Parts: sequence; structure tokens; C-alpha cells
Amino acid sequence: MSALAETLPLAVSFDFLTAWDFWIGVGVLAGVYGIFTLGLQINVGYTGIINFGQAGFMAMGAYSAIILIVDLGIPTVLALLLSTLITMAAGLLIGISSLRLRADYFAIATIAFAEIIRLTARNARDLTGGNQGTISIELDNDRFYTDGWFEISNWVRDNLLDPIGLGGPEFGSLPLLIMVWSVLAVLVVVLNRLIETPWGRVLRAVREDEDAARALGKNAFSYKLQSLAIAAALGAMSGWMLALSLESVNQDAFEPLFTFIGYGILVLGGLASFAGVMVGSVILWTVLEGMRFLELPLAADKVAALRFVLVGLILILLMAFRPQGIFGKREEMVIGE
Amino acid sequence: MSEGSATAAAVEAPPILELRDVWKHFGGIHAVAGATFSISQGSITALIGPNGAGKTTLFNVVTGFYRADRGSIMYEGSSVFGKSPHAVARLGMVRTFQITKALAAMPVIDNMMLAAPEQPGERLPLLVARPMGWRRREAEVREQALELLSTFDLDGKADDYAGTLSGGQRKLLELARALMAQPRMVLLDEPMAGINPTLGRRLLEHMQDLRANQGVTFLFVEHDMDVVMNHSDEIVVMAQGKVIVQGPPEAVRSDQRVIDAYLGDTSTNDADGDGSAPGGEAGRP
Repeated sequence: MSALAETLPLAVSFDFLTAWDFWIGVGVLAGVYGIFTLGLQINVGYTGIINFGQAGFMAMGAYSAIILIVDLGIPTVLALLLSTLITMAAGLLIGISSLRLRADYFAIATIAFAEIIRLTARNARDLTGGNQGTISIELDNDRFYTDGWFEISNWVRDNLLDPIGLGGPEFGSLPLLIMVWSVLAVLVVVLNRLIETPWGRVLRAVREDEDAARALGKNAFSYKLQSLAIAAALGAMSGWMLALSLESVNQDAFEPLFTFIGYGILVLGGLASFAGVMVGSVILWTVLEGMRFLELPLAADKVAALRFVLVGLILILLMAFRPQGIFGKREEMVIGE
Repeated sequence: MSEGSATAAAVEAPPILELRDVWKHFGGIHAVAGATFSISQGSITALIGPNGAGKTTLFNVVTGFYRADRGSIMYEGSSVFGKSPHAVARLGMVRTFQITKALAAMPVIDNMMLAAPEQPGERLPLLVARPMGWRRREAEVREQALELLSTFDLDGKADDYAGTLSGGQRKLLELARALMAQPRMVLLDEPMAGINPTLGRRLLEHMQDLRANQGVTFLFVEHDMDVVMNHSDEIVVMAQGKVIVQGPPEAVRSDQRVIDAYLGDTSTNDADGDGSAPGGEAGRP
């Protein structure tokens, strides 16, 4: 491999592909953004509402959990639950105020909401640590939001992973990976079943033709609201999982870009498929993270930009050869009608 | 004209739907301008009139898709004015659309089962709390749906996506789906448009059957005069947002005002002095 690399004008090393920590890192990100994108799938793939504010729900979940743990000293598990409920409430609020807008205006309202959350987090320094990140409020309070999680994760490492030889430093994030993917797997199973119930049937009817659903006695608005609240909850969960993996949170992590990475995953995996979200997320994050290891004769920021050029290329090829995505059904492509 | 021995039964039945002086405007245009009429329980009534007469707007107003500016809309003795579409549908008044709204990316059977009322599984709390309850209802509903599909000769298509049906089959599906909602009154917007005569005849037979066996009331918009004259008990004629004539087919057929309005000819013969005659609002589109 290395001999070959030396002969190429662009030195490319694929050694990272055999490194445990690379794959664990990709796995955590893929899992976190998988949960994030399940929310988009419920909204876009099953209800037909365009939510561009998922990063805002993610930010709310992360920040509210951190504030509850660090400032108020609430136990971790309870704080995670509360932060999810708070974010759902925010989802309902934005839904009630904006879901009556036409689909494209609603999309704009949601991205505005997400930016309000992010910019508030940037400026409310006492609450969130501002640009320095949550580490500053953690130091002030002498309490770290990851403490509760590390107790659990250390226990898992010592009692479950170490005995089978997976306790080394390169496996540091393995407990998190296990937690994230367990949650993702359970969510995919639950959502798959939910969508097959009469409730899910109404949701799909609203996706296709709101007026037809209303003419048959279904309160379309209520279902859109429920869909958005579920997406908010999923966004919040992905938010606090991201926070656990980053170990200090800064508003950069909630740029609108991440919502659109979610849409990339959605398109890649296919609309109206939860399994597609899992697969799409693994592919996209493997590409995005793998590109970091390309040694190109370019400045670092140009290499970073190149990651998205490649993602764009993949999406273009996908649109050309398989527009419904990997797992999507061509018959159920109804967005844009 | 004998005021309809043929329709005596229908006329004497209590009204299921009563409109009094209903108005609806869009900007400066009065799409519905003081419409008044009533529909008898168990009747089949045709709503006719030239394009732009306000028929579809009236449907939208009655079923809650548009909110009327003013007037009274009574259904089964209580007001449905200002109610939302889903609330109106739950009262047993179900409509179809001029451009069919078959849910194309859903299988035919799901289209049907969607319409069934009283499915506790459509509410998240009940879905979790009483899993047996909604499953039992689901089995019932599936059976009803398959039965109804077979009467419309669509049972072979149950598992196909509704998008694969022909235009005529979609019309039938939309009617079948409306019937799944167990309506007491059905409003059909141009049910015959775009479907072949055989399917059309079957659709009309179904209407007659449902009226005879279940007392379902029908109000339908239609342009095919053969269908209107031969298959309705009553005809409501609209022009320029108003109801100009209501009566049995024999009476309506020979009414000069209807002939004028439907021919779109308001200049030559407006001498009958009837205030409700067309031409009152000059320059309306």
C-alpha cells in the first residue's frame, strides 16, 4: 500500500481504515446523526413537512441537558429526560405558531428558529459559555456534565469490555458507541412499528394530500404537530449524545450545515425508510471523516471543503442512478408534487 | 307542472342540509352570493350551473374548506358554519374532489382503511394503552374495506399503490373511500368526469343502492345532462353565486331561467322580472 502511495502524485494513506478509534468515532457520529435524521424522516418522509430546524432542536437538547446538570445539579438521567421534554415543548410551540404556513414558508420559519437558538447560545455567555463552550460554566460550577455518563461508561468498560480485551485507550468511546447504537436500533424498531399503525397511516395520508385526509375526518394539523414534536424529541436525544461525545459543547456544533448533513443522509438512505437513515448516516460519515486523512498538497480548509464536494458528487450520482435513495421506494416519492 | 309525484317522498322528508343566504367572496368576486336551498334526507340532488357559478366554492364552504362570510349552514339540525373540514366529516358529511385525491403513494387498501371512523389506533395514547382495541378495530375495518372494494370491482387491486389505478378507477376508489367513512351525506364533485360510461353507470347504481338501502343522501355536481335528468330527484341550479331554481328534473328542464343561465345568455331574455335572474351583477367574470 505505502509503495503504491509513494508513486502517486497525491499521497493517500488508507491506514486509518484499519484503526479502531477511526471506526468507533465514525460509528458514534453516524449513530448520533442517525437519531437526528430519524426526526427528519418522520417529518419529511412520512408527514411531508419540511423541517430545516433540526439542528436547533439538537442544540436545545444539548444545552438544556447541560444547564440542568451543571447549573442545577440535576442527576444525569433525569436531566436527559427533562431536556427531551423541554425540546418537545419548543417543537409544539414552533409548530402551533408556524405549521399553518405554506410548506416552504414553514421551512424558513424553522431555520430561523434554529438560528435563534444557536445565536442565543452564542451570546448568553453566563448560561452556555458562549463561544468558549460549556467548559467555562462547568469550571465555574466545578461540575462537569459528562461526570454522570463517565461513571456509567467506566463501569461498562471495567466490567463488560475489559474482560473481553476491549478496555484499552483506543476503545475509549466504545461504551458511547454501544449506547448510541442501542438507542438508535430501538428507535428504528419502534418507529417502524409506529408507522404501520393506524396513526402512521394518517401521517402518510397527510404527507400526500392534507385536504384528502381532512375530508375523511382527520385533523391534519394535529398530526403535523405530533410529527414535529417527535422530531424535536429525536433532535434533543441526538443533541445530548453529541454533547457526551464532544465533552464540551460550543454553538459551532449546531450550524444549519448539520441540518443539511441530515438531509444528505435522508436522500442517500431514501425517503420513507428508517433503516435507510442508519445506512445513509454510516456512508456519509465514513466519507466525511475518511476525507480528513487524505494528504493532499492543499491547505487544510481546502481539504475540508473538498469533503463536501465529494458528498455533493455522491448525491448527484445517486440522483442520476437511484433517485429514491438506497432504501427508498420510488412509488412513495411524493415530495414536491 | 305537477310538483313531482315521483319526488314526493324525497321532498317531504326532513331536510338534512339547509343553507340560508350564504355568502363567500374572494377579493371583489362574490363566488357564492346569497345561496339558499335545502336538501331532503335520503334524496339524490344534482347541483348544476355554468362554469364559475360557484358550485365548487359552495362545496368547499359547506364542508368547511372555506369559511363562509355569512349565512347559515345547518346539517342535521345543527350549525356547521365555521367548523373545520375534519369536524364536518366526523359529523357524517363526506365529500370527494373535482380532481381526484386518491392517495397515490399508498396502497388501495390503506386508502380505504384510512377513512374508517372510530379507530382508536389513530391516537398515540390509545395506541400504546390499548393495543388490543385498535387491532380488533383494524381487522373489522379491513373486512369492510375489502367488501366495499369488491362491490366496486377493485378488490383485485387492494395491495397495489393507488397511483397505479386508471382515472376512472381512482374516481371509484374515492367514492368507495368516502363510503368507508360511514357518511349520512355524500357530496360528489363531478363524479362522472373522465370515467367511461360503464364505470359511470356502476357508480350511479351504487348511489341508488346506498340511498335505497342505507338512506344515504347525495349531492353531486355534474355537467352531463343525461345523468342529471335521469338520476336525480331534485336539481339545484346555480348561476353567478346564487341558486336560481330548485326543483324536480321535469320542472328544471323547461325553466326559462335555467336555459338562459346555462346557455350563458343573459342579454336576450331577462324580461321575466325575477330578481334572482342572472345578470344582476354586471361585469363579473
